[in-house]
Amino acid sequence: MTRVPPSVISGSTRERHKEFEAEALPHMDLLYNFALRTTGNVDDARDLLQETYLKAYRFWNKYEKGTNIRAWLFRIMKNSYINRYRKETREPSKVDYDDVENFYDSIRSSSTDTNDLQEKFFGGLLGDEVTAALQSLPEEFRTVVILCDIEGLTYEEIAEFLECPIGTVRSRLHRGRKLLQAKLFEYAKKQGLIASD
Amino acid sequence: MKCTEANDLFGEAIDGSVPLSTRNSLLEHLGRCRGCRKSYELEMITKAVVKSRCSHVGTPPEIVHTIVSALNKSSQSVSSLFDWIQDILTMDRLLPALAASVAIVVALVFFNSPTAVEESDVHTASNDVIFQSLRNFARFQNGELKPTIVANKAEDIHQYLDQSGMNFAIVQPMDCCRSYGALASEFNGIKLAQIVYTMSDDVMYVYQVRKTNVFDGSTLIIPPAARVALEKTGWYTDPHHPNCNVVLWIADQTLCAAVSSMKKDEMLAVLNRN
Repeated sequence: MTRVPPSVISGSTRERHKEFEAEALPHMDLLYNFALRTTGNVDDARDLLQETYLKAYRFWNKYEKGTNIRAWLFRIMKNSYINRYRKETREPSKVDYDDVENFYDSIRSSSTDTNDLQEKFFGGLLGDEVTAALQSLPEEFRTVVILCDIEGLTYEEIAEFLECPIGTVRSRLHRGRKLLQAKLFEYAKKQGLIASD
Repeated sequence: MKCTEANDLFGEAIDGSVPLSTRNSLLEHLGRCRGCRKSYELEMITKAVVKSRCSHVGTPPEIVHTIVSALNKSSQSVSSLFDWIQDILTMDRLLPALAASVAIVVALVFFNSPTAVEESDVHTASNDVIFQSLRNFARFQNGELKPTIVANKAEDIHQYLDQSGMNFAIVQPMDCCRSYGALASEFNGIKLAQIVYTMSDDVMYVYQVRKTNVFDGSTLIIPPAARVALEKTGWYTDPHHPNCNVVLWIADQTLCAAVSSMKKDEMLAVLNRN
């Protein structure tokens, strides 16, 4: 495609560009963090972020002024991720929720004190292991855990991002954290941080 | 409060979004039930671990730079065709008589003109539909080939093609389309409709011909793989082009070949949406 020098870009294109930069660029950190935690590496996160911004720029006329721009950008990123990355990579293995409940029951009834767990087990985990555990969660649970626990979004905003009821956010978050605990325990067992019964 | 009710409240209580009275009931239950207390504490620890090990990070400056550069390029990546169309649209707005018209139509009136036939002959070095589509797309982009008509309504383009004897042509109205252009031409006596959709930053070129003119193989051809796919599914996406994408499909009795620098999934989304 022929590139034209900036001098011949029309005034309306310049205005549009300025408006987009002012509105959309301040939310780059939120999107980058989500991309990073979702794809698991900087290169893919950069590509996903770039694709999101270019799509958002292309469809800027579709953005309804005054609505939640973070939610709009987030939805573009989520759709891009689904289209581009989910096809290429293997889906995280399906979680048997009964296993998680069993695990949970055993933890509840064990004599181990949570202070000990916090110190011995969670204290020994590295960032990479937590990231890997997070990535292994099914997408719907991973998304709410990232948005709530890392990005600090409210339930209301997450519901707006995902276009779902608050009750769904609540239940996905609770289940997501439970799944994550189970995954982290698996890591801890493998590393001998806790006894593997 | 029962254990199941307490469990349902853990998340909200940890995230600080339960009313005080409910929170007090929960705490009372946790004081009595060791199992729930442990579960609650574990969920609280899990949240803390995620937050501490996967903390929010700033976007690395080199990535910010990459994105900003890509956006700047995107704002500049306007083809000469786009400029040409924009020039015409701007001129029209300056002319009161035309500005009053809802449809901005610039017709250079080449209906049934031999010039159009000669032009199509010049740029069809092969009788392969995909080859011709790619070549014409490139020539539209560098300004060698210009639409005979440019309008901001699909109906105007359709009317022009219909009057040019191309009643098989399909012009899809698209929400994302800023203007439409078309050129009626021929190749060895076969009528070809060429339509250009100009969007915010992209151009999509669509070549259209009667299906029978291609499937009988006497004048125009398509690759065997494309033919098989079209016959089976009605769609074919050509995988061999690094800088643009080619999608073929059959609509009624018309074979359409679209070429664009848009990504294939976006292109298919645009085509499927309309």
